[in-house]
Amino acid sequence: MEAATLGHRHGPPPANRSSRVDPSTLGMLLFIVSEVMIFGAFFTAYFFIRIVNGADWPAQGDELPKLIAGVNTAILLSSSVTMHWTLESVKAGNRLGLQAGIVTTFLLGATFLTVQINEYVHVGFSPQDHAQGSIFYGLTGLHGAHVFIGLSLLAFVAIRSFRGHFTPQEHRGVEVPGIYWHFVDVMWIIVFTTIYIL
Amino acid sequence: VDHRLHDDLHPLKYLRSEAEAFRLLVRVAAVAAVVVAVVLVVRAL
Repeated sequence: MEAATLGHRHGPPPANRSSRVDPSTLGMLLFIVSEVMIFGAFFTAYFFIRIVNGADWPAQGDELPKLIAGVNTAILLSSSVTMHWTLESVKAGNRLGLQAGIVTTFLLGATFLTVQINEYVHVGFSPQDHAQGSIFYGLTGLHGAHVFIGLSLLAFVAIRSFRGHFTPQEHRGVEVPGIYWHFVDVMWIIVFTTIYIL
Repeated sequence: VDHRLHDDLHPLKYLRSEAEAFRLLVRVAAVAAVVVAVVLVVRAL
């Protein structure tokens, strides 16, 4: 009674907002900043081996499946296009487009991860064979872990989209995982270019 | 404090929304394609 009179609310006070950026988006931005640092550490090891030490890339006798990785890159980039379509659909109030888009994005991402695992089985060397192998599995595995996290987020978005949680006005639950998914694809372009092509 | 707080996040302006992140992805893909093309041409010479 007294608390209600004084205007007290139940529970903790609202968090202070010191940024104009939406808190959930700001959280994802800061998370991505930390992710860039993690990838940067792995790329440092890669360039140290290849540039400073001047080691062969890949190691002598090994060959990287460039064509398969290239097709896999196209699959992952396609998933970003469908992710963009998903968000445009929810903004336009197109629920079928939202559901079809998020399921397609998930399936394309899952296909990428499956092909990546299949590549590990057939690539012909292991992380303990040489430094090049350690970096190859380290960088591609780190990225693969991010794809797995992204797929988990997409699965939640898919479930929520089928339950009708998103509207043209409120769709942060699609937007924030979308930012993460595009970031994962940006990192793959850099990983693919440096590891497989250059 | 609010007036002095620098919160424009300029380096991250490309990740403030899904649409901006998608545009960043397209730009990175374009730059990567150019870099690969240049490197392959230089190696071929």
